[in-house]
Amino acid sequence: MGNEIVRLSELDKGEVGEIIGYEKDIPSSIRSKILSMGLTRGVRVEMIRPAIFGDPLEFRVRGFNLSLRRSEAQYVLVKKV
Amino acid sequence: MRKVRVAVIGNPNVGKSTLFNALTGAKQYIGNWPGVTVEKKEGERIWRGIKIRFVDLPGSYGLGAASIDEKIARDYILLEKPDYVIDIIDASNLERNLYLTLDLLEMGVKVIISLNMIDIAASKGIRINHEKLSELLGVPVVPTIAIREKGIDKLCDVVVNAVNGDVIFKPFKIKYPKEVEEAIQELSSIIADIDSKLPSRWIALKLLTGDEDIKRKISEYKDGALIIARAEELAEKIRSIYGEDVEIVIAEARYQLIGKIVEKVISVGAKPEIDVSDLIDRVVTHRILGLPIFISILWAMFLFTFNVAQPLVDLIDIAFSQAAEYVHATLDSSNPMLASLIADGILTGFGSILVFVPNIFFLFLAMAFLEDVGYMARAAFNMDRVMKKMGLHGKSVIPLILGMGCNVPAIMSTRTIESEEDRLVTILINPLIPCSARLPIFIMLAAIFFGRYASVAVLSMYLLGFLLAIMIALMLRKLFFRGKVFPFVMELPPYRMPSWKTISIHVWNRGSKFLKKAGWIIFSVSIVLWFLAYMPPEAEFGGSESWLAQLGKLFEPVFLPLGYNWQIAVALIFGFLAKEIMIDAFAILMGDNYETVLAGMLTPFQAYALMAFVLVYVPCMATLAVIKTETGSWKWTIFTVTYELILAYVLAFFITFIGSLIW
Repeated sequence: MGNEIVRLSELDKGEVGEIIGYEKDIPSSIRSKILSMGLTRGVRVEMIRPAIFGDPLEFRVRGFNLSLRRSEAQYVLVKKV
Repeated sequence: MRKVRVAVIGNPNVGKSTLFNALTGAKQYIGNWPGVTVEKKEGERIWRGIKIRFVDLPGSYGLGAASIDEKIARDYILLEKPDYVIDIIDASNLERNLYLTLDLLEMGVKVIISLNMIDIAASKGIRINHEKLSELLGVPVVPTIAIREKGIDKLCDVVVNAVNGDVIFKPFKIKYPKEVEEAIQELSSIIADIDSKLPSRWIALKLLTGDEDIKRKISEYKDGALIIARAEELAEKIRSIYGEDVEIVIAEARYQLIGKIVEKVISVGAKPEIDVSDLIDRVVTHRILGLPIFISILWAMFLFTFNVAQPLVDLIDIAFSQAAEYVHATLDSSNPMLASLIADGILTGFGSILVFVPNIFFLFLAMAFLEDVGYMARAAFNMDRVMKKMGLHGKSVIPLILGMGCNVPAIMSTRTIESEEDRLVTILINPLIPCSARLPIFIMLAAIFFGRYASVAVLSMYLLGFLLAIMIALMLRKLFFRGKVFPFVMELPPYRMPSWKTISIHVWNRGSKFLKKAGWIIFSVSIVLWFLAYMPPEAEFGGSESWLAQLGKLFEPVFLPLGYNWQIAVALIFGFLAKEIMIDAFAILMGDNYETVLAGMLTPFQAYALMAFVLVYVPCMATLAVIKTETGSWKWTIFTVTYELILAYVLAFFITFIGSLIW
């Protein structure tokens, strides 16, 4: 199960994924925002925890913590590491 | 004296307000950015014979136009052309912060970097070679600790040195992949042709990434449309070569460069074993504990805002009514009209504004504290799912809860919501949340008509209020803000002890602005209502012969289908001044045994309909004033009044109608 490719929204708590790309139909407003926050290809993202009602999700990337809704994180493709 | 204008920019949560306050001191000019309700702060410092005017730009992660804040920041730099831009960077979060820095450098502005919170970074084992960073970026870098005012003088020194020509700002260029670079060069040379003052390379980049706002600006030039068409062609070409959108290619090139810079300037030592922020978050966002903690914090904030401030509110209330009594006692015999104007008009008017002041200041204190500590972001994070279902945003939860105390500070607390649409919806539904001033009326009517079920009737008003708020929010989304879902890409900043100086300046600025702006509206309406209640002079104040009563009689036919007579109509008009005044109005119009009179006047269903009407019908004057100042729009203010009046009438009519079938 080493190099399984999943959506960022599918990572479980504590799992780390390396960004490999984005869904083609990602809305540009979401794309600009996540790119400026440093979610570029090759970067490692750790899923820290979900919010109390299960959505949004908290991630750790480039040394800071970021919250994304599942509906936004699903556009980002990661390789589990 | 020589003058220089310096814009201050930075990512959110980098201590920008604290640094700004350290630079300018408490004397600041607060305004709004043109056309929007985002606050604009300016301040001055005279340093070594030069007058430095600092302009605080909204927190931004980059110079895209993703949010209103970022658009304001970039428009200011692009169009107003400040002499220098101080870019505040969080030393413990260099990577992401440098993204904005690169955007600024590519725009060709003269950037002075304030490398802030170096103490916190050091405590995490992060050391930054700021001289090396300065060398790599080609701009001055000043290490600062804003909260302890360290490095502030040095920062001003650098500005002065720059003015004197002693600082070199090297031009900065990011090397992009070949095809992107070619496209940028082609576009930037045409852009330079149409307007040599534009930062052509930066504009070329924005056109390639399809920035709508920049496209619009360029399309205003003569050959603008041609340039845009060419940019789209080139972007398409790059997309076909790289298999990814240009924006992704560009962002990657930038972050690669950032990676190289960070590698050269940072040395990471031993990290502390425990991450305190993470520990707090484990509890605060815990699946089971999270919600009770959230509710407790809200409850504490509620108590602080309304109960702790209450003695001050009472004091102001008593002071004004005592003053009014004194005026009546001394002036009534000699000049009754003047006495009434001062006592019932001016003093009551000022009193009705000032009683809000303690609540507002206490609320802002609590809000600023929770915001600066970092809890607000967690509250929004935790509640987002529920709020989103209602067509709102995670951050809408605070204003909804505070509305139960008073809608005025509640509406002001929507300022933390970045998305203009989410904020507007949150403001427009807020008056439906029953504030504490409506409670006495509910209790009075319920006690008269529902006996032992009174508390159930009162509670049902709260449920009804929240239900209507959710319905209207969903409806507003469908009608006016369809499809515009603001991404919830939000930083969860590490918990920090806030700076009390920053908080107090912030609270003072907000509170005094409310007094200045909303105060005038409330005051003028109070005077008008006084006049209507006073005229004609021979009639009893607000009595059955007054113009106000005439107005009530004029409206009587409107209320007839609901079974309300002119007395209730007048009470409702008074309720616009402040909801709690309605009870006084009943007393004036029906005498001291108004409860018995009311009992004979209405059926229980009509009384329940009246409760619902009072719940919904119109925000009080102060709330209305604050809706106007916060939305900056008469249109939305009038919209609120209109929809609430219609909703209240329909609702009351419906309840009365059902009642007439059963009763």
